[in-house]
Amino acid sequence: MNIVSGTLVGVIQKGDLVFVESFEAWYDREHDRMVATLLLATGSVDLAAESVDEACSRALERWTRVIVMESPTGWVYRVALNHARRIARRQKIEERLTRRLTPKPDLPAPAGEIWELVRGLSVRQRQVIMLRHVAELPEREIAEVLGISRGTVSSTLHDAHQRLGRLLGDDNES
Amino acid sequence: MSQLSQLSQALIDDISLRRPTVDDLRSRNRRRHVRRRSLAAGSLALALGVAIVVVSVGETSTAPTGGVKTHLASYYQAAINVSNSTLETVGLPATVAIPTRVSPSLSTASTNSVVSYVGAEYCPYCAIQRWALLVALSKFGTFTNLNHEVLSSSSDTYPHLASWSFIGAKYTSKYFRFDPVELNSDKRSLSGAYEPLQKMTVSQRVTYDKFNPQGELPFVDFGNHYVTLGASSSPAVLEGLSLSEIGSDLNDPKSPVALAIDGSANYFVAALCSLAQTDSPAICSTPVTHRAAKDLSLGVGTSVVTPSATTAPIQPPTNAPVSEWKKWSVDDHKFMLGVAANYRSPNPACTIINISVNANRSNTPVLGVPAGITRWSISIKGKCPPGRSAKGL
Repeated sequence: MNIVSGTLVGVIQKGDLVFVESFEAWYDREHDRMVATLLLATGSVDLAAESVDEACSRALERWTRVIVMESPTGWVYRVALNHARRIARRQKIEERLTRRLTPKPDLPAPAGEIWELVRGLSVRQRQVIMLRHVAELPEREIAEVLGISRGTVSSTLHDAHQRLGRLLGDDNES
Repeated sequence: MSQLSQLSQALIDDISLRRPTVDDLRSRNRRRHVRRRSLAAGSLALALGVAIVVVSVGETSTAPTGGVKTHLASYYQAAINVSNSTLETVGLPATVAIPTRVSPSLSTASTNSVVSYVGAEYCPYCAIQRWALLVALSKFGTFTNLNHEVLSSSSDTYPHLASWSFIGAKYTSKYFRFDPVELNSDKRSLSGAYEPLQKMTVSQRVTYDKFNPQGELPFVDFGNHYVTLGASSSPAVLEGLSLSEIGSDLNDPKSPVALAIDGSANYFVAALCSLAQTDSPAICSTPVTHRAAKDLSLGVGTSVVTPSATTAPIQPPTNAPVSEWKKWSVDDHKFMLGVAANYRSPNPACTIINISVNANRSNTPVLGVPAGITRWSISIKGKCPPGRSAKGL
């Protein structure tokens, strides 16, 4: 049984009834930001939507366990990025077998503008930048999401900022 | 980075993709589980095929050395091995229905030391009740040949629940006999009805008709001392879960699955202990079993979650300061949450799916509550087995 109070849902933790954010409230708040983050990390609208849907459906299934984690949103990002990686790998194999190339992403504005800005970054740099500036996760959680150390997150962010800084600077000058 | 942040915000505001509803996500989960099960069944069939070939080849050269060993899948093992401490931690949740006390009579004498289960493979309420029976009965004996996985009906409430049935299962115990019957399959015949599977024995039919005149499924009879009509807890907790996930949740006392299934099993254990008077197993001496036995004899729950507030706060006078009314509203909310946490259906055959504590605020005074002050109300959603009215939920 769920005990729901507005945007809260009751869960039994260590014998006590505690009220935590309901999945619906979390989903309503985070969905669009997650799709935007995945879209800019992968460069594909379809892949982003599919990965976010998959991750959110898995979160829904085990919400009472996910919501009491240190970073529920971080967990969902991790699942979504893993799912996106699996699909992308499968697509690459298919491309190799069928010798058919996937068309380059053609993103509508403003996604297209950002994509033009970040497409030159490495995949890892792009993921870190998007998780920091679009998903607005702290460095500690980005490390958790990507399964890397916090130091690596900091140095990757630093490198990406330098590169983007140059790009943004060029944009400003022109 | 401000240019990037600004563009990102514009993108988030501009996301024009269709956002799936929560129900869409639930359907997605169900489809994923069905796919997984199909894949598992395919792999099993392939493995069996290979095994048959290997055995056939082996038989031509060497003589067999022993009998076939029965191996239970991990989720059955997980249910069988739910520890006494897990059952103790789960306790007796308020959301679990207590078995009803009945009196054995001359007509039921032949089954006074028999535990009987009557259910059907398509029935979602049976899906959850079987798990609780498996947890409880395993404390008194041994199951073998549990290997018949099923899916509950796609057109009933709680569709496509992953489950298994007692078809082919064997149970041995020194305390009592267990007679399970699955009346219908989860597959439909050409006429649209679920295919018949097993029939009740004559003595089972006597108790079924006597204690369950409405013919509800599942029906469990603990030696004509206690019976359950319908599910003891809501099958909603199984929605979207695979058998493995249910198995692992059973050993996590905080999970909704454990609260529902292990909580029901605690009452079943107490009922079974009443049939195992001499040399009863250790589980019969645990504190939770004693508490459950007390609840069984009284017919009401005495061990429920402590509410955050036990009495309704007294409403201040209408002309009291706003700060006093706001404090009353906060206290009233706490009280309502406590009521919700402790609510138990007066009809033990019904299961509660959801209790909502809802805020109501009006621009005009209502029932002595000034305008702008939040009042709280409770709404209860539940399910009674077919043949019973939801009235009295």
